[in-house]
Amino acid sequence: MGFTERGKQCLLPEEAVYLLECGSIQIFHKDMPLSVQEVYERLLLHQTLRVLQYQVYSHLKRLGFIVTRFNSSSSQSAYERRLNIRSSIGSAGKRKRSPSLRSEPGLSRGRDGDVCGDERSSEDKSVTSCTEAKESNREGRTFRDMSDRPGKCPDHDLKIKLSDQPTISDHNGDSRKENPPESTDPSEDVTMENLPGAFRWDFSKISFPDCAPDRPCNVFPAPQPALLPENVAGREVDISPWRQRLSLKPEKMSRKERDRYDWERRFKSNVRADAAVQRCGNWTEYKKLLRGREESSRKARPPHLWASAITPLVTPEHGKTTASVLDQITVMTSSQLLDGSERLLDVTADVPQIHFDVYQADGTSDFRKSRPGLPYARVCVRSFSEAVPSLRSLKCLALRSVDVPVVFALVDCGEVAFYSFKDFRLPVDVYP
Amino acid sequence: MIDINPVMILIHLTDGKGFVWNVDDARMIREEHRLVGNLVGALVRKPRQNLRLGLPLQLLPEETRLLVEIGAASLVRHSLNEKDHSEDDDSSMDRAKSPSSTDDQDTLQTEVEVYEEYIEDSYKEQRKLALAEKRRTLEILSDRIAERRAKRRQQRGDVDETPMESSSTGPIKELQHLEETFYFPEETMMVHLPTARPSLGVVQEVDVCQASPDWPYAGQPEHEMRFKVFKDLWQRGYFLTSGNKFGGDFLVYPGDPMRYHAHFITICFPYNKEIPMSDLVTAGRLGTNVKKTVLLCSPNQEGAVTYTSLQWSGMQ
Repeated sequence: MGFTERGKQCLLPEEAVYLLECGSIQIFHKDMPLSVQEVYERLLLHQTLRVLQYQVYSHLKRLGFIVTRFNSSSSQSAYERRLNIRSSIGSAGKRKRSPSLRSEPGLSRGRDGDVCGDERSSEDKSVTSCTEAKESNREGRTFRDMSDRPGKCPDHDLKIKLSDQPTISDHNGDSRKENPPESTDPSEDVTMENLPGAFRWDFSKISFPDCAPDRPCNVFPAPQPALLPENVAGREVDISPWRQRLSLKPEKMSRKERDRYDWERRFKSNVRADAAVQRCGNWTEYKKLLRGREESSRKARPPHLWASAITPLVTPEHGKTTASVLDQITVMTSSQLLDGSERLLDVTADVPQIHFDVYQADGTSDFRKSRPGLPYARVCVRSFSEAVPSLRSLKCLALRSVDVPVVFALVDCGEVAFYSFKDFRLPVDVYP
Repeated sequence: MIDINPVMILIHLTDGKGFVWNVDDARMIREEHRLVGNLVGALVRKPRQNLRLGLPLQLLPEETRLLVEIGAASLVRHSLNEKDHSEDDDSSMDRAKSPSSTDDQDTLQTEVEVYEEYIEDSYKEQRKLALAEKRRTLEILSDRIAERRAKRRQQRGDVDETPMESSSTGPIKELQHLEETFYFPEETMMVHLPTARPSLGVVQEVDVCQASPDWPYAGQPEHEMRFKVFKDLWQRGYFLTSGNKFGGDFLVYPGDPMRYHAHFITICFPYNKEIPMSDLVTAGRLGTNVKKTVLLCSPNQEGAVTYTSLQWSGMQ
């Protein structure tokens, strides 16, 4: 594959050794051609490329895959996937930055800056503004939990507030073409101070507008002035053009999924189908309704079942599906590999390193050097003499590559075998 | 002075692993010394497939140590930097040359000259051969070519008939001017890509009995235990390969692995170590599923190895 640097075509060491073994190139050092043995001894000693890794690389190449070195920026975090950012970004590799998006020197941006920039250039502005708002919240990486900013619809306020408030959003203020460059200091201490401030809002008094597709809500009211800073004026806005753009993509379900969906619709009831629930304005009222219902059902219970020490496990209205019954008696909760992985500190020493991205090279793949896309798998090379990684390091590893499965390539004196950990969910419901 | 016996097999140490690059050495290791190793390089005739690989031959640490201990091979490592030349004392250098840099430059220059001369000779030789080949082909086909040309001229209507072409018996014009018109550019020349080093270069011998950064196994209890078991089984006449695919340490064959299936899976344990029951059950079940007997091996204090075999038996 290689890469170009300053106009010269260069090859990575593993590529060079592989091509030499195939007989496609000749490698010269000080005008003398090198034999395969000399090339092994010269190139396969570095920390970045040991003999083990070269053996896995050549094995995969001979099988016909396209193998590149692991590029950590090609792996998305959970948040990015939720936003489906990848579809809007052209390339995962080099990207051209327009001069207006140049960041301030004090900020650490990395790929986040690139993401913002490309998003803007390629998509419709009205669609991106909501996502931009979320991105801006995400930029302050340490404050991931605070990213769902309370109070009001974030997009409006950010457009207005950027020039003033030294909040998390300002880190991205520079990335927006429409807003003037910020003069606020991007110091993290200021945002730290804002953290306890978030708790001084009383959520029972703030109403969240519901813009679900089945709700008639086309106008967002003006935000309460008490929640805004002094020199900022909020206004009400009509969101009907934007609501038309929400959930545009129809969900493609396979036949099995469609059957399951129909079955669930018949036997599982939607909570909101209840008129009384729809009349509830906020969570307090809903809880009151639930409590009232529980009491009335308690009064209607047959005493011979409920009066003694042993009571039935489920009531008739809750026992319609196998899953709900199993829910009551389950001893273990099913867990996935990624559960709780975000909270683990990434102690890099323990976590196995991912070495290669592997792409398929058949007719259906759309791999391009400039736009490789999502790899088929990521390979981590280990030897048999090393210990099996602990669950904690496996979770950290899974977090590093959420969208693509990680395969362990175990090398044993030249023989390569591939292993991976797969999640498995025990079936709980019985579908006809 | 490292006196490397030219008859000895050389095992080259790269990244903690022993490689054999010479094809005669590799054959001798398998045929005479009954050690299998593993071929890990691309097969020269068919490089882009994984079923059959070619040189180098990678040896297990136990195989390497065994070969050195019986005196059939010596373990060497190459030093690449010019700094190594001046740091080692002269006795460890293979070539009797003074370690000054100008002399190295000179040797390099002469090497380059020798190589370029060799390429030049090879080119002339190949051109000569290609020319002869082309002449032969043209001679064989010249009659047919002349016939076809005559026919085409007749079809076109006999316009502009030159005396040379009209003769159907003389040689066609290509043959007459072959020497001048023959085109054989240098890029089409065949070159030889050697697998092993053409010349030995500067090597240092590595001691298998001492731990060093290049050879970290010596002295480690696990390696010592495995080596004792390996040597004992080897001395009984078996062929041994790596057994990690079957959950053990070695696979034991009664003859060459190309001819037989493995009979035993060897798992090495330290003497007097408690083995958890679940490990025994795992090993037993694995062996049963692949129709091999599991051997639990432990070298005891006297140095002899005790073997216990696990076999699935019904209640009879």
